[in-house]
Amino acid sequence: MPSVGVVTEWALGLTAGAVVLLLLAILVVRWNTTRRRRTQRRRSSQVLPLLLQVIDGEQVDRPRDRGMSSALSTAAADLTHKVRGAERNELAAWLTSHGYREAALAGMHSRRPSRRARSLELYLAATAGTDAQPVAALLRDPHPRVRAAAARALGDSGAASAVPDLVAAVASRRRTISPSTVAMAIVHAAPTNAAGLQHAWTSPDVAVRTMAADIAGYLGLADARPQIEAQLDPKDPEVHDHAVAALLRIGDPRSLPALTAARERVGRDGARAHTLAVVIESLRATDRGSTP
Amino acid sequence: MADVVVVEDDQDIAVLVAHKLRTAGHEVTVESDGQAGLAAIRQVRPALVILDWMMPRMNGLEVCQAVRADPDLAATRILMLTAKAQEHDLERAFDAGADEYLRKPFSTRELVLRATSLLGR
Repeated sequence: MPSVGVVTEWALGLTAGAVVLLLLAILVVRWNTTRRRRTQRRRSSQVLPLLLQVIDGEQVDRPRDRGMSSALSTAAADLTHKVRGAERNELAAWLTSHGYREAALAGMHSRRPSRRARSLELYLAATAGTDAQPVAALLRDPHPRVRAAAARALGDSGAASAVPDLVAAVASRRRTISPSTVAMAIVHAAPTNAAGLQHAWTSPDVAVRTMAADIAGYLGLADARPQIEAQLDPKDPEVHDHAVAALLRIGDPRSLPALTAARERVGRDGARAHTLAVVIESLRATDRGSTP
Repeated sequence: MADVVVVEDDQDIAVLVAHKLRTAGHEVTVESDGQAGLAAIRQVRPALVILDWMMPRMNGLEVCQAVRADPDLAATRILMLTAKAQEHDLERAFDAGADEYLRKPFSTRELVLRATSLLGR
């Protein structure tokens, strides 16, 4: 039987070996990551001039090198969200005519979540955000990263038609995505009216109604005013406060009766009553300013 | 042809805007943060500055105020380019001295048209 000293020596030797292996593994991973990032940067700087040619309507072939082709599609997907009008349409048409749209659609059914997430962005880029439905379906993807990527991409691409799907994803009993992610996506999608928020107002979930009030207020969706006023219920203090803030942002004096009734319900004292008084005074001032 | 300084931390947008302005015949300098941008503006004394709002080191609003506080740059026009989309953001930009404002995402054709219009004033 080995002595305690020998066992200790073995244990120390094994530990030292494990530490050396761990350090080696860290070095290899870091080296690999740095090399990959450097390659990505080099490829990005190479593909941007190609994208400018595409935007200018020049003839640009799809790169034969797979890495370059992938870098080009990623850069195109990034750039598409940052431009609109003719440039966006040029990029979308080029991506579609060079097979990226079909590849993206296939990638959205990949077994790998990371590929699904990348592909959905490319798909929206290739359709200039006009065909949001296949991406909206991924709001119910089993992987949270894909769901979040779908919400973000729908917002960034300005797909206002996807707002009902975004609301449905956050309002479903088995919530698949967080209200803050959806709120950001809808704000970025910037719908011009509140029709897409319709099902949010009647949700039993306070977080969903609060989210809807925030979005409507932030985007100044005046057609949501009656639904926001209906949220002025002191039984749901959180929704109530967000609804008051939204009505202030929308700034329509027609909200005055609902706000005045709300103030009577909460009484004259306290922070909530004070906020209501300030908002009422602000809307009265707006009303006086708009009355000839 | 005019001297234009583009101050934008998003490389894609900076390259795209510079490319379109160069195609329109302007001499373009690009910087990627507020401090470097202000230094370039003081050096180049451009006719036009295309200025992003949210940037590292010094934001676009601060750059705008610094340009307006410099009498040597009184003739410089400023076009703010930003994702901030609310009315009060617009007010803040004009209060700081911006001449024009374009929301992201934007059309570069519209940007060149507005830039040309500003340069003609």
